[in-house]
Amino acid sequence: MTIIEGMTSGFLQAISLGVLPFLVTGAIFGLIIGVIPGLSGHFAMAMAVTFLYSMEPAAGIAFLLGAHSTVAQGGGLTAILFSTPGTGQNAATLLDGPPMRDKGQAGLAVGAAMASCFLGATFGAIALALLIPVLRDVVLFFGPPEIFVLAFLALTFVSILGKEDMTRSMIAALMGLMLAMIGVDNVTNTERFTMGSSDLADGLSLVPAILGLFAVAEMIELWVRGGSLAKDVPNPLSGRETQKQIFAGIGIAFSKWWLVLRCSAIGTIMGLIPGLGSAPAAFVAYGHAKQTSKDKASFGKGNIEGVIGAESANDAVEGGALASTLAFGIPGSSSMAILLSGLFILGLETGPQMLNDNLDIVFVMIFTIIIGNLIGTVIGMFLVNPLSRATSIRASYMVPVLLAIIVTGAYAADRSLFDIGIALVFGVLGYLMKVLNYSRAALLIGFVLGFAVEKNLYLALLIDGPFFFMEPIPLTLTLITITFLGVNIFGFFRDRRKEQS
Amino acid sequence: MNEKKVVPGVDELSEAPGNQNANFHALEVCFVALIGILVIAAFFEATTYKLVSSRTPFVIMVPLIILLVIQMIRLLEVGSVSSVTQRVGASIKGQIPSITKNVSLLSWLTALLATIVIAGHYIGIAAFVFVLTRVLSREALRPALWVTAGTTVLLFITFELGFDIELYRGLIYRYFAGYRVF
Repeated sequence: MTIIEGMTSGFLQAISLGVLPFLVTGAIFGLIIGVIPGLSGHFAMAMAVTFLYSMEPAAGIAFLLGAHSTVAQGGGLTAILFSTPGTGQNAATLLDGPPMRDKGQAGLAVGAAMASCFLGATFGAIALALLIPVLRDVVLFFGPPEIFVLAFLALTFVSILGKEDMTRSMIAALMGLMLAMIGVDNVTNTERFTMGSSDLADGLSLVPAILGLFAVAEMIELWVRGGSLAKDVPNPLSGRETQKQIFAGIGIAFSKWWLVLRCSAIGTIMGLIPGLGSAPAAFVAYGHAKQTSKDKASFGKGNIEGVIGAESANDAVEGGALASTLAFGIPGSSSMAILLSGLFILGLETGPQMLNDNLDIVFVMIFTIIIGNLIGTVIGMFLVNPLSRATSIRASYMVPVLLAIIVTGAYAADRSLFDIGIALVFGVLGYLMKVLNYSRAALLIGFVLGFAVEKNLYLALLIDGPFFFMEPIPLTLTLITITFLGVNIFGFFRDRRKEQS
Repeated sequence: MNEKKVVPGVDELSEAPGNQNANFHALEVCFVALIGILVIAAFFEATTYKLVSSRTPFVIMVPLIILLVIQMIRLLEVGSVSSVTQRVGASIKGQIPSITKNVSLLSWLTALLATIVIAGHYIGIAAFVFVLTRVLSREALRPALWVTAGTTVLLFITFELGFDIELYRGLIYRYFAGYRVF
């Protein structure tokens, strides 16, 4: 399939009646989840993934990515209105969003944030489209030895660059790999770690594991915390005034196109690096916006450029993150790991096959990101006030309802009661990992990559023998992994010595 | 989280910010110990497999065990074992509210699973939502009933009508429907 064919087919599929309703539903769902503090983008995707079994690939991807793409928009809204970021990735928006609200410019900040999200996501999606010809050639150099070493490189990056402690994250990544070993070994047909249970013979199911790690765990935390999710809006504006300001904010975001472009580029490039994620990208972009601004002093006191910089980088990350996920099957974040699981469920394979035979699906993703963000912006423009009311739902209502949906989703994936048990066990594990600062992203990525790691290790040994990592690309990747790990371990001990002295 | 020396006192088992570090420390010691036991059990189990089947698990488990040992040493450097046993004892006695609340929710989730198995999905879900909203959260009866009914109907419409997925009807229903394989 040529790129033009893939692009045309992808666009027609994305706007077809079989896909667009799923995209709109996903986008609205993501926006609502994003608005509610405590529920993250992972939660939206974990919930969405349960419905994929009964969907066509394009519709499933549109639903999943639609939900994912609007979460940051919803999160930005609450960061500005309530000083509570709906998701972690909106933390940088807190620096200038709430001060703008306090100056009576809440609508302006919301409009600028929504438009910047849309523009950033569009930039990231276009960057991904432009990367496809390059990736198609690069991916051909990646056989089993390269993929095996690349998987470890990605896990190392995720463990070290994530916000959690390095040792804990590495433990989590290895735990994820270990969990993937449960079930029948495909080479020798030996049952491993199943404790004689036939339910475990096919390994742990992905959907209940994802639901447990991200959705049940969030619910347990929310239940323990209790109460209402957000306070009243400080300095609320009238509906008409808010609307007027939102349109003005959108206009300002478009007029600052050069800043949007630069910050989006930062987001896209950082998205390519596994483990970095949206939050650091938003902070780097914020720093860049401040550094290059003529009015540095007003940053942190309500400068709209701070909001635009952070929000445009936030969503541009997805384009970069998708590139490595689709080309090599190596997810760089928990969201991408869930997306990869979704692709498995929909029967799609990443790597050369995705970039050559299923190029239309790649473009469905690209157009989904753009259209999803556009839908989010349009809904956000007109429904700011009703959307913000979602934050006043008490945990005592929200937790039982969402848990009921999660449990049903865990069952529905394979019609298995055993899977409900898996979701609950992973829920406890996810909750413990969250409160104890262990990276759930690293565990999930390890879990998703486990099968590929084992298969590629087996093939690498078969093809190139025990010194397969001495080939040029694996050797380079191994050296990068060791150097990166070494530098960080050295830094860890140096900091510790400093602390002790 | 655990970088400061944790020295708990007898009356410091509450959820005050200063004591949370000690609670988390105790929780993490138990967590690492449990993972360690499971991994060591898996290690011995893996020795019974053929070389090809056990190779990757060993490649993963060896560094994992080393990291768990390192983490346990780090944990025991910043807090004492007596602090851990004291807090474990307190949580068993129900003196740490957040743990008690957690255990309560998990017990209800387990009860939900048991109810689904016996009485079916809809009855289990309805009972669960009602118990959590009305009994545990003490919300008013009418909204609790509305939320319960609304959730059950939403699940029916979404899964049974929307996605054509039949939810589990329970052992009792299946028995009277003539099934003998559950």
